[in-house]
Amino acid sequence: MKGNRFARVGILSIALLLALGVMGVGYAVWTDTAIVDGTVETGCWVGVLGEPASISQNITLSVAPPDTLNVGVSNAQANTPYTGSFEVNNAGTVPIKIGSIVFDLPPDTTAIVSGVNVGDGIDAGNTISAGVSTSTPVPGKSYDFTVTFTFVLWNE
Amino acid sequence: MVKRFHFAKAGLVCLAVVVVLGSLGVAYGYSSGTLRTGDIMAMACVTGPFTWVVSNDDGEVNNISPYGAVDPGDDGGGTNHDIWGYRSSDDPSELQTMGVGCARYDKDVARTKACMSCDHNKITVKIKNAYPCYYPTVFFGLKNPRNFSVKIKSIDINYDIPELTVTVDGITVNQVLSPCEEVVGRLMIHTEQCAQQYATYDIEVKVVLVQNEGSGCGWGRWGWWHYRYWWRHWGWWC
Repeated sequence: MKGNRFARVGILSIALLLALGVMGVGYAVWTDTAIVDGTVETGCWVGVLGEPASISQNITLSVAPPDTLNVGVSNAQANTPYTGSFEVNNAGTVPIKIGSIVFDLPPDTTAIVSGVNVGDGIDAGNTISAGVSTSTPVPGKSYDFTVTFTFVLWNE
Repeated sequence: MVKRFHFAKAGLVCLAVVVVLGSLGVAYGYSSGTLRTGDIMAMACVTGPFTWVVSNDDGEVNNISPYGAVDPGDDGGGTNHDIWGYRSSDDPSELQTMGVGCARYDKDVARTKACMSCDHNKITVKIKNAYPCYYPTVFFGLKNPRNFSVKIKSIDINYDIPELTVTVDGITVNQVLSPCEEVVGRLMIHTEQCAQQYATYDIEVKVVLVQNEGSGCGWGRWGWWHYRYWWRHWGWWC
């Protein structure tokens, strides 16, 4: 009987010792992890040409999305300007500016764009009205050309 | 009679166990260090090391004691373009030093919000409408929440993409923080030229704190047992 009693007390003591030991170890190896979670959502920076319209006779305008204007002139009179209009839109959420305007003209022709210049800024959602004018010294000439815009971020 | 006697002894042992464990619990509960008056409301759920967080593009100049204005210039609105109104400011174009203004664009296009979890273990940063060269800074306080010194074991910045450059300074690996010591960290996120439009990029910074070996004199602590002259102490606490 006496031995049994001691065995019970012994088991309890060992259990207590183990429990306290485990707690001590757990406390000694304290560690903590701090997290910074980040999400970066980018916006949109895209310029598009839209709404072309012919103002003069013998000229047609169309847009090859998003940034090229196709111009066609038929049976032109010598040194007579033919004009059309179009729009430049910032369809994104970030301001842009016009990086370049490139003409692809045939010989004996000239063309200019009015209303917009390289470096002009367009805020998000805004539209600028622009025009194109072309002429040739060759009477009766029919020709096509393109005007290509590039857009860059306003901070470039 | 004999049986009763056994149960009485076992009961006493159990009671002793309960008392010992209870005392340990109370002692552990008291080990969080000194409370500041300003912390009392938040302490109900505070366990983590972050103490505050400030974004320099959330439209508000934040005053943090004892540093003062952390992000001057973050005063809301945009000069020549304003998407977010009072919720954001002219976009920062360079990293900001705490308390000093930084270069900003004249437009408010993107914004950065930063908030801290209730338990102070996590900071969440959300950047919206970002674009190449947008460069916000997030400041945060990292405090040793324990009454023994801790060490920054590791700082892992996880983002496997070239579209962002993410850096952290103000805290370094192996930096030791005394009990209740606070340091100011800085998270800088630069959007690179190759960033895609309408894209979402995730980043994670993981800071692991461990008890500093050789520190802390309390009985049962790692440092106590490793302290060379432990026997010179008169009591259990230094």
